[in-house]
Amino acid sequence: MLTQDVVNQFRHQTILVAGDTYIDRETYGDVLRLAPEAPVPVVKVKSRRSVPGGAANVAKNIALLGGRALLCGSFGQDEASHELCGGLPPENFRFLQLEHRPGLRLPERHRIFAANQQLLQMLNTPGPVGTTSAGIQLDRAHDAKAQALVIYDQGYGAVDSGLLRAVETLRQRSPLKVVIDGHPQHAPWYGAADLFTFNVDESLEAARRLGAHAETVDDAGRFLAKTLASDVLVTLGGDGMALFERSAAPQRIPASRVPLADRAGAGDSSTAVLALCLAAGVPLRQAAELANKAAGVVVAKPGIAYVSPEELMSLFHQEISHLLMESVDVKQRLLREQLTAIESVVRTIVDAYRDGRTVYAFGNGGSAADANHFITELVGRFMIERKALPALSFSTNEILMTSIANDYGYEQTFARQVDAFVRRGDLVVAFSTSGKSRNVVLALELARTKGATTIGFTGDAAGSFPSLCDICIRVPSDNTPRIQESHLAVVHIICELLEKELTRT
Amino acid sequence: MRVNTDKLAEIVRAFPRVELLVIGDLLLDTYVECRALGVANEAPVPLVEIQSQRQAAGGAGNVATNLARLGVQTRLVAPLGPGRESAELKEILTAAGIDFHPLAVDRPTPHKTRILAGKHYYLRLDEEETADLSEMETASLQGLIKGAWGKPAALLVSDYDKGTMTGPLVRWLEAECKVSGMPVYGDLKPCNVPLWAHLSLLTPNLPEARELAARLQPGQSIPEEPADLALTLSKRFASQVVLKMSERGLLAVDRGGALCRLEALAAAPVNVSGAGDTVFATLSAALAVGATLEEAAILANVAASRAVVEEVTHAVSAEELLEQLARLAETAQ
Repeated sequence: MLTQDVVNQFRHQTILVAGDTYIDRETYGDVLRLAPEAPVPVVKVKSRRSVPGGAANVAKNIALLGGRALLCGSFGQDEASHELCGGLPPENFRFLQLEHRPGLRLPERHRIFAANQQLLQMLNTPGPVGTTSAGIQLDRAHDAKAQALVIYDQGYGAVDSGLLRAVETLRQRSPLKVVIDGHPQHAPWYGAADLFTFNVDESLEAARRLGAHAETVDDAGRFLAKTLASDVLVTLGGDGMALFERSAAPQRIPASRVPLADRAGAGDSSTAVLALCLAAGVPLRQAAELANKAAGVVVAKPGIAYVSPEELMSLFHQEISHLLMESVDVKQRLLREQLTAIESVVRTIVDAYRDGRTVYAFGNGGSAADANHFITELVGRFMIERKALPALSFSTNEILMTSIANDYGYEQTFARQVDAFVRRGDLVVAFSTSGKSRNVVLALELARTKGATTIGFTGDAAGSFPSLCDICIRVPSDNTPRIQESHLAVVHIICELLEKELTRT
Repeated sequence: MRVNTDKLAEIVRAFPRVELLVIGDLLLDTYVECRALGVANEAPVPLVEIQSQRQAAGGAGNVATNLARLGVQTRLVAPLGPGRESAELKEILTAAGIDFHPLAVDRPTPHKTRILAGKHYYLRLDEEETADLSEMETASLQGLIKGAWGKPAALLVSDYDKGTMTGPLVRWLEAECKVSGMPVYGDLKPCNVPLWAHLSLLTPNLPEARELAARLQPGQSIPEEPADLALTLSKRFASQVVLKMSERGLLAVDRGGALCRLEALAAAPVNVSGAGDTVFATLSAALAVGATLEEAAILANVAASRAVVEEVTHAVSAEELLEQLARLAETAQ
């Protein structure tokens, strides 16, 4: 599914979110001086912000991504509830008050920033906030016809064994996808879920609490996936994610390369995307990749930040422009490194044609296409009307190719043709992105012994290939498509220049 | 210098007989005591857990608190912002025995929040809007001051340049004080000193005194010696000047230009914040009950030495001051 289509599915999903909820407070200011009483910064406060934290923030992320979030739990006074939903549209964000507990104070996390840099983080946890009867009440959530349930467990007390039992029952009764943002201390309580997420430390600690001594994330992830009978996603901070599926080998998903502000809120956005994707039936691997990209959007913004459906959709454009830029980048390096080599190829071909020689080209697959393209420009015309130039591709004649391959082996396919056609002074042009194609290498060796001039087109990792070529065009990249695009660009340049030279009177 | 501690104790015991009016900038100090948990996982910054929070009155509020602790009948008129914390501040002041007349304003009470873990101090958050009070607010403030006037022996102005002490208010106050023959004692930010024509007492610290001298005589060289500096200011305002020189003690100059230098008494100060307010309050209380400037300065110096040995900002009580005096008498024998 294309990213666009996945994101468009979000608005049809209803997600239940339960677990630890707190208030995230942020203070922004400037530091212009030190305090007179001690050498510490004085932050002149410019603005303050309170946003929902924990389960409430996952719910908010879901709502902002277009999904319907149903936040279940106990939130104390209306004032706190109001702060939690933060003006989100009621059709996207609703409360399911599981238990009314007047006087309950939510835990708080307070971050202090100056000039977009975080200085300090303060926690204020006023005591246990367990929802004693949440487990029983969660049954009501079943009526909400949700496609997924997120349990957000920070160990603050809202997630207890009762709630987790209720989750298991609910999962057995309905096709609900269950995502648990896990807390290591509660690992022994967890039953199976569709997905568990942990950070690195949490994964190691959770494995330890389940009786395994895991040294690495890989050990921990594999163990947790097996023991919890669930897929497990470990977030690696700046290194992306590690995905441990029960049905596939562990996979790494590298982090997006973005300028980092801080990681505040990235985990919550990623959890929201995961839940929405699983609810929409998106395969886990793709869900994780999208969640990883969503986290990349969030970490570039300072403080608790969010990602919009539009931003997620624009990621697809960003991917396209990234690939185009990669191509541009290779061409720029080509410009810096290969001017002289290209010039000598032009000079050599012009001289060979003036001496009445013939040009032969060959390569495999995409390189065969490049070889044919080159020959076509010579026998036909490039841009100027002129006489035909003698040139032949060894990659075109499939009857000949299959016959040689069948009788002598594939590695002889080009060498046999070199033997048949190439004479002293002729030009042999070989294309191989890897420089390792055996049939190309053997043909070059034979061409040399027959006294031909050899020209090679290859990439960065070219083995013995360059030493077999009198002139070698080496594209400074190890990425096959980028190398082949550059080969074609160089072929066009050579054709244009030699045609100009040969038509000069 | 021979110190007559009996005479000084008598002055302290007279404090409850006198009434003083404080106006100026009321500040809110919050101390957030934390426990260090380590480094936050989302950014390499300290992660702490709040253990307790304490509010205290600062600025004019701390001057009033010091006066009240010394036994003086204290009235305070100052702007107070909205919100839970400001309401708590009002309770704190009232609980300290201060007759507080707040002017309710829309902008927040200037607020300093200090975040600490034990003796480790992380940072300070300052929140304030320091535009001058509007004409209407100033008029309301005048009404409140009139209502609270009573029979004060002096007016104390604690000005932190947070917008309360405006030109019109100062002119009105000076007129009112002239009518009732009431002295004005000022602990003022240098930029606002020129608003005043008649001050009985000025209590700058050394950097403030230098800045003030520079403002008063632009282009002229500032006296190097603290004594010359104090004399210059005293001459300019025809007032008594007490220069607060932190670890170098106090320097008092009376209207006649007579100097009195007092060495700081505390050998190892622990926390000096708020000590300036203690000096100002003690000086004012002593002068108000008829002490000489020298006696008042000695008492202020003794009070300061008591204030700075506490971990948190401390308003010295009359009992503590009397104890200090008794100890001083013992060592003198």
